[in-house]
Amino acid sequence: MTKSIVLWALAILLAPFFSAVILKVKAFFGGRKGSPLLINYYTLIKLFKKGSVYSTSTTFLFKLGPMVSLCAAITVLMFLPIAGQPPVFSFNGDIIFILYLLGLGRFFTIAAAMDTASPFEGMGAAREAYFPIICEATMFMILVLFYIFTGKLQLAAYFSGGHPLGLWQAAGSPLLFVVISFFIILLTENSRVPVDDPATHLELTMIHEVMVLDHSGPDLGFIEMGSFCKLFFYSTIVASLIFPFELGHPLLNMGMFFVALLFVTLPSV
Amino acid sequence: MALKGVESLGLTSGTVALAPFVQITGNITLAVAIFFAIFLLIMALRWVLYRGKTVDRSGTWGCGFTQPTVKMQYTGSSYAASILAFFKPVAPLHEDHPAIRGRFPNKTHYHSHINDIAELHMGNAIVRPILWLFDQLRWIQHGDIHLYIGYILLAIVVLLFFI
Repeated sequence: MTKSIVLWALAILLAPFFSAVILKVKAFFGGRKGSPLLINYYTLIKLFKKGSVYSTSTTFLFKLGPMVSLCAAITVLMFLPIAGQPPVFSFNGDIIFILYLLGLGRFFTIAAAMDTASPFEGMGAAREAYFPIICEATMFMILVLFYIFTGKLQLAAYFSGGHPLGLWQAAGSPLLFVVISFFIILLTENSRVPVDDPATHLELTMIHEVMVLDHSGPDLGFIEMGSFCKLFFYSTIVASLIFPFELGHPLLNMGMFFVALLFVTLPSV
Repeated sequence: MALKGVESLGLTSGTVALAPFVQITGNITLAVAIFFAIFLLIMALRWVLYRGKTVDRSGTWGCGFTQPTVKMQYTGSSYAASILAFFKPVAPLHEDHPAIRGRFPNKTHYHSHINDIAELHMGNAIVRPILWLFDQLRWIQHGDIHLYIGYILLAIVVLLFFI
């Protein structure tokens, strides 16, 4: 239990790092030096030091948005089995709870975006509401498959415990498609390149970034932190699907898990 | 607990196993309590981070455009447009606007309506034929009180055969 809580805290602390690795690799392939690996921590500290400017059209909902989305992302990490360890908290049916917790975070982000009365943010909110509909359908199809294999609706039952290769042995080929579709979900949910570009500066083409245009200071920091946690969550799932090995020692498992995580984040450049 | 309430009615075949449901709802309540605790922590963190900071208010950023009016806001139909485009087969969009002609076009209008296919086809397949049928029978109701009394008499005479 203590180990799980430590891993949970570690996941939250390391989430910005993995996001920075993506930026670094992207810069490397672009022939640039890129920002330092700790860039996201610097950004967070910078944002937390600042004050905020609020739009005159916003209400308390606008301030609630960042808090709820970060809270949802952090709570979701509690259910995530990291490096083969059992999660902090787990019960049968938790996967559906997790999905709707992420939905709650999304709802509040959309509500906060609509609260600013900016047409750009409305556009972003419409896209943010549209893509997850398709993602959610995919997720539930995957869940049905996992349920057939394990008889459980529990994230911990799929990715931790003494049968690391179980799912691959039972059904290797469907699982290959699961990995592919999960990766596409990862790209969509975390506004990665083919779907969205977090680095773009044209509001009309953005999804997630356009919704946070009017946020500033610590509020923006919360949103960024939430999206790092969300990216960590999805990459961990894909990583545990691709590397379902058990190395016999918790530290070795941890090491392999981080390698796997890097492996997952690389193509999402 | 609703299950326990209706148990006495005997609607279910045998007893319903309540324990798994109670366990799941209990777990969800616990998870929500944790969620709320984390939320309170974040709220406290936010309060600490905003202490002694300058918080300004200003107009919504509009890409340099500073005179937005209510007419320019993003409407409900524009919000739903991309989703509705995807679900077009089940939610067809009906648009009504005359084509613009000539160099100095007349006043035009635009009206759009999202149809519900259940409502649409129910109307076309059931409601309209029935309305048409009853339209054909309209001659029975003509407003002549004498003939109405005749109808009553006829009905009584017909009923006499069933006594």
